[in-house]
Amino acid sequence: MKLARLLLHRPTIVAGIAIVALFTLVAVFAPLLEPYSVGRPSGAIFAPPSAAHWLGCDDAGVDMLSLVVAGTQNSMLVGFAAAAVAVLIGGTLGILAGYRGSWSETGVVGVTDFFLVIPALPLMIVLAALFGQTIYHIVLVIGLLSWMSVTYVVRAQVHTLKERGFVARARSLGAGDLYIIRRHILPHVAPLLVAQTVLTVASAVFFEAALAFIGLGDPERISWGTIIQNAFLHSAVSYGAWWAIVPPGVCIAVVVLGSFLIGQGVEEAMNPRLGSAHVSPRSFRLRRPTPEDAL
Amino acid sequence: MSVLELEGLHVWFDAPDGRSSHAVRGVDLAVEAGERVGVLGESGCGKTTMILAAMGLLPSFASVGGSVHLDGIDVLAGGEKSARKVRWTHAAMVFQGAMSAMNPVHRIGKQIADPMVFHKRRSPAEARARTCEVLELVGLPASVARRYPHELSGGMRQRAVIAMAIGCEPRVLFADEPTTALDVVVQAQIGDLLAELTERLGLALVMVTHDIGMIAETAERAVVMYAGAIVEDGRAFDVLTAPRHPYTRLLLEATPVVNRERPLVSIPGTPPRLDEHISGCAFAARCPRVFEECAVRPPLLGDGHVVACHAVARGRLS
Amino acid sequence: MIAFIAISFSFVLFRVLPGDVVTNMSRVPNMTKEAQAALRAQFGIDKPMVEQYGLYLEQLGRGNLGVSYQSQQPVLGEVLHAVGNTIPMVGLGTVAAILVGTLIGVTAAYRQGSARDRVITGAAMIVYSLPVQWVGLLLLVWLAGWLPTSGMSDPYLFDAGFWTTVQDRALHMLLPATCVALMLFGSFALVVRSSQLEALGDDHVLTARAKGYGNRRIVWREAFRSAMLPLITLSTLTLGFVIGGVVLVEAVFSWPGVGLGTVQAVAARDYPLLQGIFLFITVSVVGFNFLGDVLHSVLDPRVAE
Repeated sequence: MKLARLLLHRPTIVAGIAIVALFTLVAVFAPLLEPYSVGRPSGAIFAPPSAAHWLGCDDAGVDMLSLVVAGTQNSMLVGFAAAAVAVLIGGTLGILAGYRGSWSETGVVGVTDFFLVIPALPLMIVLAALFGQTIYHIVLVIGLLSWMSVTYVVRAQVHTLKERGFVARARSLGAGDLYIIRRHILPHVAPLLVAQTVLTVASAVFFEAALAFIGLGDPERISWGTIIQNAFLHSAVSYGAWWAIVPPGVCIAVVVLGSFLIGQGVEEAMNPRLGSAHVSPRSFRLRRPTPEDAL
Repeated sequence: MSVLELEGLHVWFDAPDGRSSHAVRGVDLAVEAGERVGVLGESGCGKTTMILAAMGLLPSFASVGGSVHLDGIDVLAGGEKSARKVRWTHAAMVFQGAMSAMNPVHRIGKQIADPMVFHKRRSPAEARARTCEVLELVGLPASVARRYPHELSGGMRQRAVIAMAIGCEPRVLFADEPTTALDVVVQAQIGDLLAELTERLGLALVMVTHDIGMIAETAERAVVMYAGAIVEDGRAFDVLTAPRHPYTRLLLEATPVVNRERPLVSIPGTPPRLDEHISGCAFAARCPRVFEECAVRPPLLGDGHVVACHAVARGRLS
Repeated sequence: MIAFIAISFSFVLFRVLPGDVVTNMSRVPNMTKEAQAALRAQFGIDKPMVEQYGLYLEQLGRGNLGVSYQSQQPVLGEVLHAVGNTIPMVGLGTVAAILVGTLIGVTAAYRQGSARDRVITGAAMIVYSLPVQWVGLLLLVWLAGWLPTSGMSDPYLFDAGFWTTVQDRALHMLLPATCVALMLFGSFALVVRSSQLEALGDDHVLTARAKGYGNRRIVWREAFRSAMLPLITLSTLTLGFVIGGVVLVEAVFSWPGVGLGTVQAVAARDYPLLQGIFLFITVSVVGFNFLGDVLHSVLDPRVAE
């Protein structure tokens, strides 16, 4: 696909994909990669980083590196699952709104605007607190509040596609709606959905960590968010045990950054910036014409 | 001394991959005060780059060779800094697309008056008065000063841009395609306005256009450019009725005339790439009169009406 | 219009949620069925939903948002108090983020492609990716000795003079505000850079250059003036959101504002308070969006039709 080739030429996108791929791999193979078992302590309480424990230990003496690796699994899981929910909802609504137009569109736009007005995190907190604290609930809660931007973007794209005429043409040839959507719209919307999924994964990872910090994460599972929360609750700050705090945050940051790079790269690939600035700190240069130049 | 002197002007544009495009290839041009010059040529021939270079308005990835003297001042020697000395006060430019050339969030009056105050030509109060004067000169009512660009029609906007340009009393006015995107009636009006202004104010006008009608109406002198160099330069009437250079001839032939039935012709081939060295006459590849001598670049020869063509120089063309 | 829907949503949300406040209170010993029924009657939750809705709107019109279950104080007062705490801290952080973000965004755009630009863009993206609560914790770890780390003021400061109180409050605000600023400046920097880059390619910028203006004037008065509009929109949007959204910062620094109040209210199932908070948050977002639209039309004469 020439689109893939276009995207893969850009170093930012490649870097982003590499990052996300790396973390996904770690998530999949997590149990094999943990140097120590996370079930029981293997070092001193808040032991600083050393040869035996590269990232030190947490408040219970459990190896930090193992914790972080174990956490990768749940964090990435929540990230992808919530993103899947969000993109599914958002994509469907976006296509519906863009394709159908009129009442459906007005309705969808209204609902989207409404959800956008409500600040996500407080609402997530309320829902998470009240509906349960397993990982499935969290995935749902995050997903249900992350679909709005997907809808907007998809709807805009469907509009552009409609303007390109082949929808009208297909209709006039007697094609049914579902057929048109499947064969004409989806292929063009797909890359956009992929980019949105990646971006939503990042925000979902962030929200998971946020909910965990408030104490609303799944208590049975380890995730980057719960590691940070744990450190906070067990006075890692007072101990000055930065190693109990830094690694999971770095992981979140790197994943978010990776997805951001992908998103930015795709954005720039699809809308290249033409035209250069008319003002620059450097002036035009002087050059001596050689005799050949006059020939 | 001419008010505008281009001597051996070269302009290169450097691409990020190291190659450079030779957009203006050794141009000599002298314009006297009050003279109205039309620069004719197809897209990409370097005419716009040439007048931008005359005011030093080149991007940072451009390099420039030769010299430009405006009112005796060397424009290019000091880079951007020296160019700023002549801008608006000695030479001004009317750009293509008046709507985008003006700042959409500032009122017209402010855009006309600000340069006057900036260059210390006038105090703010005097500038306001002069703004009204200048608007009157271009045929706009004084109330236009309070308006925003998007509130005016195309023709009014073009006049406003001209008003902006003459505000600081420059000696040379450059105009880049001043009538493109305007309807025919307005085109004629603007052409007349430019002619009238140059006479009244003693301005020199250098007008870049591909509209031959515009040159016929407004210019006294026509300069034809091809592939970054001047190929013909003479009185507008002479160049348009009795063109000497093969390119000019073909160009005029290719121009459709509304009420005369003629087959539409075009000049075969395409202009040469400017990022490759052109040896000899640039038009040789497409010229119906090409011969061996054309492997060497022809100089501009003639008296009054000069041409850069070996065939003409040798008397091989009528 | 949206405000009205938001208000109704607030109401519906907190009625359909499982476990009303009385069940929460039922953990208190000696809570008999009769006592529960009496409490329900007192709080008005035993009436049919429609009637409750009517009451709700009526009370709302009178400025009565109910009474907090936790503190037995009127919700309106509680919410306003929390908002009063949040606004200075968040305001400081947001303004700082806007100023710094704008400055470095314009610089990066002017020097596009240079090392300075790459550093600025990279730093903005990296800081933007950092999780807020983590940044807060690290600030605590580093600066714990130097700056106060929790609460809004020193609880042991009695009868202090005006300036000492101000200084104390200001110091307490510094870390959380810095945290907010760090959270936000990345997006401002990137948005400003992007729209400024576009503005620098506008034709009227070339006209300004042809007029002989210096680069500094062109960058700010010509280009930035156009590029400012997306910045205004983002600013107002951010302000609207951030008033309710800084839950994490307030949690890390124990700042008694709207965010922390939300967390506590959720834990206690204090629905009236939650309702009030949500109402306030939604109204503020809508309000700031509106403000953004107004500012936009003031600054861009093309829109003002």
